[in-house]
Amino acid sequence: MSIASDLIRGHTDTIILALLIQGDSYGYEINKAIQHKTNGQYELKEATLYTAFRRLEQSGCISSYWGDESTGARRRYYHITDQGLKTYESLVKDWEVAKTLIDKLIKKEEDPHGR
Amino acid sequence: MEDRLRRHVENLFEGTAPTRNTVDFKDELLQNLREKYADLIREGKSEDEAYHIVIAGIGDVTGLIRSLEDKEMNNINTETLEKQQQKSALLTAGAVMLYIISIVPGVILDAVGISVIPGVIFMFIAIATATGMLIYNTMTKPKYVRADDSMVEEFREWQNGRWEKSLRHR
Repeated sequence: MSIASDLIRGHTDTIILALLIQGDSYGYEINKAIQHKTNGQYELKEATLYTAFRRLEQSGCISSYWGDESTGARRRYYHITDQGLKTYESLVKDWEVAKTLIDKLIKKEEDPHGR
Repeated sequence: MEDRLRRHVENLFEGTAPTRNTVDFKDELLQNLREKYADLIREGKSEDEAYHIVIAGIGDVTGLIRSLEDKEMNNINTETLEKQQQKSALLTAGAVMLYIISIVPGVILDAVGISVIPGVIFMFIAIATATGMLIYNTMTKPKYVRADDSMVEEFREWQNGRWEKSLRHR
């Protein structure tokens, strides 16, 4: 993990919400999905992941429940709420705006003379 | 090796009040680390390698644990604690009052010169009630922090015990 991970960390909430839209999930499964989607280039620290879960739960974006696995210990699952869906939509919008702005600000000016 | 993982997590939570939030988080964290560990072993990592990868991936959870603990403290410090204290004061005061009153009918009946028996009976009933109130008071107070979760936690303890046993058999 490099400097890019610092940039991504700011969007942990959005990433988690996006994955929960696909269905209820638990900590390790979410981290596995992140790893898989990024071809192993990115993975969250447990500390970051669970801090985000607690934050999202407190703001009513997700709810949690204990699974009833018959073998081994139980997993704690997370579920996205209506509030969470709304938050996700606005976070994505925020990101789109920021992305466009940052692109404009940091990309080299295209030379109109095509040198 | 599983024990090593558990021990590491136990160490992370050392000195933490075993409240509902912290215990839940410990269970959750340990369960997810175990699955990660099992996957790494399946991928062909050695037990040592897998253990170190899992441990390194946790990051710093002390802040999170501390915040869970604080939240619990705030919950306790609200109305419930006040109500609990009021109830406890009432029970103690009532009990002391009963102790004092308990001998009054006996003394009066004795002074008037009628049978003392009803007075004695009243005294014993009053003393028994007062003692019962005091015992009830002390028993309900310390339990109340995990009262609503005690069944769940007991079940979890039992389940963990069973799980460990099944591991040892393997």
